[in-house]
Amino acid sequence: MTLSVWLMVSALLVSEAESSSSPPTMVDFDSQIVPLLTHAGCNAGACHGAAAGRGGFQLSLFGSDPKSDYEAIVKFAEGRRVNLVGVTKSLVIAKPLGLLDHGGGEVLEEGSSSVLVLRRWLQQGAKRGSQRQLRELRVEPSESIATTSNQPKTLRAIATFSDGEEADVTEWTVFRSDDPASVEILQGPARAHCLRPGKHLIMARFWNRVVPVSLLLPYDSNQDMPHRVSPSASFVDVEIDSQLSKLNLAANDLADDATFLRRLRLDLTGRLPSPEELQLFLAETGAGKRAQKVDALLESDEFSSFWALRLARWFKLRGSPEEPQAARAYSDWIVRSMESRRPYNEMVRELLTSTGDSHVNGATNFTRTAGDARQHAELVSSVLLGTRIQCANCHNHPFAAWTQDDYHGLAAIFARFDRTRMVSLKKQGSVTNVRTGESAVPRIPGVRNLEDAESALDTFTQWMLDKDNSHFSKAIVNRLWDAMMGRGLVAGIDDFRETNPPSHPQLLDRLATDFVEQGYNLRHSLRIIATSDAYARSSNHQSQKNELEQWYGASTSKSLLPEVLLDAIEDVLGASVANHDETRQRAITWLDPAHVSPDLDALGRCSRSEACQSQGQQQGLAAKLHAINGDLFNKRIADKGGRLQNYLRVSMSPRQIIEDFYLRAMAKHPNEEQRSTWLSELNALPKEEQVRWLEDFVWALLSSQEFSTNR
Amino acid sequence: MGNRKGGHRWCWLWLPLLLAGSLEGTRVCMAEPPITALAFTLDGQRVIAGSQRGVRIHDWPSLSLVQSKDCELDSIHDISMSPDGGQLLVAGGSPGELGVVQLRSWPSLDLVRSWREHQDVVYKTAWRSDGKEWVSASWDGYCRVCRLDAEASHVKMTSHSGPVFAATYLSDGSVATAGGDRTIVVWNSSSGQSTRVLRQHTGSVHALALQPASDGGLERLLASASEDRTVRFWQANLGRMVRFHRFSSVPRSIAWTHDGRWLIAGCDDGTIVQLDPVTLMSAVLSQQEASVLNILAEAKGEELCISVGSDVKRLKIGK
Amino acid sequence: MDYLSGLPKQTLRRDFLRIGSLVSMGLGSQLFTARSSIAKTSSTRGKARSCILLWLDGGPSHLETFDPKRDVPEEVRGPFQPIATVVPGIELSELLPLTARITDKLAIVRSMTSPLGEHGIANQYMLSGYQPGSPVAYPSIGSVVAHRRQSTSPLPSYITVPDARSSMGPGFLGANYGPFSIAGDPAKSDFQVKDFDYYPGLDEDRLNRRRQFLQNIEATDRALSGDKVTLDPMFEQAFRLISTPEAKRAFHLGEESDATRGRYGPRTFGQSCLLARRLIERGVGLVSVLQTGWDTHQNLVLSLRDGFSGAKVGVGLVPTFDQAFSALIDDLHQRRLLDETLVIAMGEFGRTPKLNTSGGRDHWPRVFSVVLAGGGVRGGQVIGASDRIGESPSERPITPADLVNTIYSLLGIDPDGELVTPDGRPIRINQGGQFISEMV
Repeated sequence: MTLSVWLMVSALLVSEAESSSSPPTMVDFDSQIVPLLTHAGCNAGACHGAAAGRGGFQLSLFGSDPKSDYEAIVKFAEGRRVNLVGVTKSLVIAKPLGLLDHGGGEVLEEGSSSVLVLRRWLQQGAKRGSQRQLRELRVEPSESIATTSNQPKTLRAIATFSDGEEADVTEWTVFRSDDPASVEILQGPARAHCLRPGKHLIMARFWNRVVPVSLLLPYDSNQDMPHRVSPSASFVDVEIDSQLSKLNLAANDLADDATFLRRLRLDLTGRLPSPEELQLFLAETGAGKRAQKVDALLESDEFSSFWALRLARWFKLRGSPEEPQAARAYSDWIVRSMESRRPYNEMVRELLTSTGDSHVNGATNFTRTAGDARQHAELVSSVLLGTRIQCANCHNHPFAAWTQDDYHGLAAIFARFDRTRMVSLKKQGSVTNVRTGESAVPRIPGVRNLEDAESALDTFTQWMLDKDNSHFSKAIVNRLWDAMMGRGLVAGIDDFRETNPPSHPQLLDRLATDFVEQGYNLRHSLRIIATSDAYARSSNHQSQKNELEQWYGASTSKSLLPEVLLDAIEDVLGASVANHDETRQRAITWLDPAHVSPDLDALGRCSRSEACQSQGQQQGLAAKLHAINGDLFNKRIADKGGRLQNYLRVSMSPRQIIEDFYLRAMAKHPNEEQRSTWLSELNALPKEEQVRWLEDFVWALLSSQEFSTNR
Repeated sequence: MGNRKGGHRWCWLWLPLLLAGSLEGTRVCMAEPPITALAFTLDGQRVIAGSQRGVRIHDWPSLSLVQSKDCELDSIHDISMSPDGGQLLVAGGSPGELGVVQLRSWPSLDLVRSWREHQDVVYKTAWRSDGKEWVSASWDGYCRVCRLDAEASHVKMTSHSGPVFAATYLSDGSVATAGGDRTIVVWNSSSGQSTRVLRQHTGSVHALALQPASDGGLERLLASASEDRTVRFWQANLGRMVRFHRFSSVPRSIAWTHDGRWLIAGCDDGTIVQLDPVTLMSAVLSQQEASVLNILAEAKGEELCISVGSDVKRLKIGK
Repeated sequence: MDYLSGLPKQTLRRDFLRIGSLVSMGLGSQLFTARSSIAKTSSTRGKARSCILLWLDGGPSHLETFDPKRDVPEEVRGPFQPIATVVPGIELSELLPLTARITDKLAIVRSMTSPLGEHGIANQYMLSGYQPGSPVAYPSIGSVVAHRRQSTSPLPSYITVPDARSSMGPGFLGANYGPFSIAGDPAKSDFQVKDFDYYPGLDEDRLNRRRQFLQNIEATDRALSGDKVTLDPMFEQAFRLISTPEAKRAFHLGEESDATRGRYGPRTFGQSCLLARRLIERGVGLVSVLQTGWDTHQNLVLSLRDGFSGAKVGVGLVPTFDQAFSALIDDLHQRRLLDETLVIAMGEFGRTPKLNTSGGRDHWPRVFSVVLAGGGVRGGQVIGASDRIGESPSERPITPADLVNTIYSLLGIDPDGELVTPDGRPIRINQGGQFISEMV
């Protein structure tokens, strides 16, 4: 390997030119000038890289389009920005040096290698050059573990170009710490210094490429934790435990059976275990009883019903008031697909390609969820690829590899859809590529153009569902992991991008491969997760709370979905205010968020059409006021047909009542001290006041943190 | 100020290497800047070319270099001969700093007067037909009207919201200007008030050309060339777009043939296209290696003078 | 005079119910005129005790409000003309005639600049001073005020009227410092805040018992964690508020005279501004008033001036704002509250310098205007300028980080102070912002 430090050398050559006799090489516009613009920040979104440029001067964002950058610098307005006779008079040098008034200030320094290279390029006639591309950017070290001494690590960036040359481009690479409080970047030479224990990210940007570098500083480096990966562990635990061990973190013990059952029940079926189920489970003694419970729940109708809600959320199902039939057909289709155990890839195939009457063929409503081809592209990339491609509508994506051609090309694939009630594929349809002003060429983002518009949708679907397309399988297993563990391996289930790498890359790979090998079976992958030690750990209360949770050494508390919480409230209270008819519907069966429910609104559900900041429940003062003075609890507690009033009617003892409600709400008994305090307090009250006392007790139970979270 | 001298010295240092051919045709020496202004003398015997290096006078049609002159301008974007052929305006300036219009006598090229009112480079000047006043268009977003004998302009036109690249007098004495804001503004040259704003272009407009008077006395069309890859023909006084032609590449420079029968357009892809303004029939006259920055039609009507990069060339017009 | 602040804090917390009763017995007026103050630090310049933030949601056009242009093409100037104000040399849009009379009290910043032109992220930048994109969720200004404030009032420190935007949230500070949205329309005759009154059958005793139960149950849960046994602060606040009638009176707009109500204008925004004044009078730290609809991509005449087609008197966004804003400043001034109340009117960005084909303007963050008044701000001045066509700052560019830094400073909050994330990471209250020194 010949690693030339060509930029350094070429920069030096300028100053040595007058005394040296060896000819300097030509400065290459694409691979030298554009990267130095990126390095100086000229083509950033806040400066000339903005969609509308700045000060009449527009560059492509981070130099993604050197051809247009060359036009803008050398050709635009009869070459006003370069002066080939008096190089320093060139705007492209005078402005960044601050010789002329520059909105961006002095971004280059006289005498810096950037200026030397720029000047030499101008002196050579401001030629375009080789037009080679950046094939790969590698940063050394790509992942490093800081030792006890925690010396700053020297960083090196090496670029490989399309002509095969490899070069050290460290000098032209911007290293940015994702979190300066955790990692500090030192200059000259570039080094990274870890300030806090944990695993931290640095972004290395050269030209139009960003590469993440991770730096790991173990916790509490004085005492070594025992390495405890058991030989029989599943691949999930092997990955989780080895990462914990690298970080020198000790995982929590496994949660007790009652806690585990409540957690599993809520995660797989969205409901609390009944006292009877809990007793049975606790009484069982077999070693495999947790795994058996996982299997039993995965086979249940309750599982299908609850996970249909999860899928509906992921697919952004939302009905319109004018066409309730459409939302109903779509909901039915999801529920049937879950019940009949359809492989996920088969479901997605239907979502992507179905045509027909959307009031009958439910899957066609995926297409109708998007108002037009561009929204369709955004929906598909977000739901199926876990990627936010929106930014690439107006300019090439600043953090990810998406270009405007990718965005509009993906939209072009869906341009032929007629999105009225009868979903069909029209003969023609196109979207305009904003960049070119012409019809976009259908394109699989980041992969290839699909010249034949007629077959583009089929080709795209094939690509999407190809077993080698790990974007697709990773996106879905990450969603499953997120639902079960409280946080995706890639944080943000629709935020896959180079600069947001997974916390456990190998684990994500294994889960995705396994998912595909097992026939895109959702239940299978959930079983893998639910039977792991990582899933079964107790939640944490110690000082290392966040670190441990972040690395799955402790279980993360998850707030219940508003639908699940409403069902749980009604299950505990045995009262349904929302439905007075005989066949009480559970809130989790309302897959359509347009379903009218003031209770769900009060609990903080968010409509699926817009980005919802927290998926959790309503927090804050308003929620608490409603808990105290609103209908949600009060009406149900007082309900004549409800559990409490029934118990009182049949004269159940206060002790039993307290016990029963505690078990139902928390899946555990109150502790002895509480119980006796309460009972003595209660017994001192007149009969009538006892009722109100119990009402207040039940209210407090349901208002507690513990009740409304899954931990 | 700049380091022009240093640049030259540097250039010469490398010249021996160039001659030795050791770089396989790559020019290490400072490249010759592109020609950014081009004009015929009234008698058609000379072509005057302007660039960052100054002004060069070529013999027509031999194109041999007759004279060079440094005009003390960092860049020159326009050269316009006066209607009587006795004077010329050389316009340009320093980007980001100053716009300059120089009045020079012909053929001596002596500086008669210069105006330095624009805050950025002047891209175009145009003479009123009586030769008593001229209009300038600048990157600074303004246009100015100035009498030949005045120290300063008397009209400042403010209706453009971006750089102005093109200007021409219309047959009724009003002015049309166009530029980066994608509009063509028709305005009164004595008041500076706009009378019409033509908005059909969807890209920056960089050239305007008024059709020469024809024998039939028909209304003269205004042609405009834009980044949107069209040339549009207008009855500018009525604000009416008559028709347009879309090219496969951006038409950079346009010129009417002397008889007004054809519009010639030089495009960014190096094609030179001859276009019939009535039928919109077009034919490619020539294929150059780079963008055609300037195009002129000689008065005799046989040939074109064009500039491509730093070269001035001759070209036959088709029939 | 500050009767309550003399009490030890413990007493305050434990005996809030009793104090609630004291209040209802008539000792309350003292409590509620005793204004709590934000913790001061040595390095700050602020004398403002509270803040009213008028959030013009969607991005108000600077050209049709505080930065009108003369001698520019019509497509830049838009459908309206500039008018003179009481301050010679400062012109406003003709849609702001009432504001033109109080311009001597305003500091108009005309050179705000930001790279963010999409609502969500631009909101976050303006309202937190931090550009989104890092893994940290930064708190909004109101949440920082609530966090930095030691309030004795049962009213929340941070209230949004009538609603909040998601970017007005507490970020890593957590739900305890989030805004309280009144979620009702103060302009409606039957306006009341939801869930303020006892549910039928509930009373103060039962409320007290519920609180004890809850504390007891949470305690067993938290005992395991070694955390201090305290009730969720939001529940504490809710219990306090419900049992303190005097606090709830802040929301009784009916106590205001018809003349006062009329001054602010009959619409939601005007009455919201009036409510904001009542709230800061009672010690609320920051009240954010939302005016929606400023995302005017179409027909500026209809959206900005008329409000509906065929309107004889304009009731669009700007006239509505003009009436409410000028009334608020006047009212605060007359009540001698303006010096201690910082009023800010801003949105997430400006609008494109040229009208689009629908007669509207699109998003434009590169230059836009914000207005500050009161709280020690020197009025009657313009800070910075945009260029000829309102496209870029031509002098004194000011970033959202600068603005937020200035707001904190004026409120007596040290922008260099530190907040701590739940995982123990120190975050500066403001990063990279400079105090706008012309402001005082």
